[in-house]
Amino acid sequence: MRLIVDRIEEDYIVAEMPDLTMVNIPRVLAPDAKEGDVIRLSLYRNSNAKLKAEIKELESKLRHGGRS
Amino acid sequence: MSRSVPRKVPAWLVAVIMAAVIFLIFAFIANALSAKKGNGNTNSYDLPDEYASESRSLNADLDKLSFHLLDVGQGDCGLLELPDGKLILIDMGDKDAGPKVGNWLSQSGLTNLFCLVATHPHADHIGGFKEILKVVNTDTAYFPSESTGASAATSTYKNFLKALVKKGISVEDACAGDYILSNAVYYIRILAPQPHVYENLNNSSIVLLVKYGEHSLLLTGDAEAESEAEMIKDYKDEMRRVTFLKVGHHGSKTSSTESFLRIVEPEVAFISLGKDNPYHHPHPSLMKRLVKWCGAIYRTDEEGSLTFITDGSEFDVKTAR
Repeated sequence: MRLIVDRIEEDYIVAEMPDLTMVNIPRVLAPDAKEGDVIRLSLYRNSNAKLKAEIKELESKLRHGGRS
Repeated sequence: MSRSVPRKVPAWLVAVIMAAVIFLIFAFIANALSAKKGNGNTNSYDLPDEYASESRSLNADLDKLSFHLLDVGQGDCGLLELPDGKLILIDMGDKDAGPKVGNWLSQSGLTNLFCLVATHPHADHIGGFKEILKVVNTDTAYFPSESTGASAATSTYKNFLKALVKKGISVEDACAGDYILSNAVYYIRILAPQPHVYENLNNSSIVLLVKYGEHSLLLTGDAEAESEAEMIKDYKDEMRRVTFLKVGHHGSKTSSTESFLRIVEPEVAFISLGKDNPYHHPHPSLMKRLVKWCGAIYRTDEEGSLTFITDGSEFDVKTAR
């Protein structure tokens, strides 16, 4: 999804969504954003397998008294 | 014994009576349809009918000037009613405001505009164009002058431009020093922007000074410190101690600087903003400055739509809530 930066208001980037409604995005996520810039939102499913595996391992450890 | 003889009614008189009867029937039907349309409005916009009617009846005297700052949430939309009945719409709020403002303008019969002023192309100032341009008529829209480079790369702005083209509305450049209207009774002068590029689009906002009788109104769009400094440099005397200020940029901390307010020192200030907005509007530091330099402060998030009205001598403020 493409979001177009309409303006900057204090701590937020006010961006135009494809249906022309506006959404507030915390400015810390794109501190250099300027009016007219495009923020692209992309969805990556199953792309954080490493993190998921680490979480799984931690959960397992916790459930089995520290034994993996 | 005399006997009255029936007199023949002339054919022309019959025709006149028939025409009058037909006219009255049509007028009655048109009136009924109009009333039905008015009652059909179910939106919760807090500009009641009597508020609109009152303002219009005051202006019908042709000696009142009023500025309505409409409650459009987080955005700007103002309507200037001039003593000679001319109307100027200044900004159109955001997309959500469009239907509400369009309805109100339509139901209040305030649709024939002298011109439209788009102070700058941010979506909270032009986003309501679609429904508003459906109901208003004008042939001119003022934009910040081309030399400011003021533009936007949003679909909202592109669609706004397309709507203007479709309606046959042409764009006039607004540049500091020019007059939109000037006559023996009142004038509307453009105090900003200057003809150069501004890094911050808010500073390319069209700022208007309206002078009528003993009173003056300063309508600032989203002008911030840079624009204010330029105005102080060029128009210090003209904007000294105005009666009314539409506070710049919804009460952000970057507008209405101490040096600006010290000159302007308004008796009345209006702020247009949304309730519980996340942008810290109005900023506490700004409110502190306003309290120091302004006579009375009104906010659309607290009191709904606001009207400043003057006959050139006395002035009054009306609130919708």
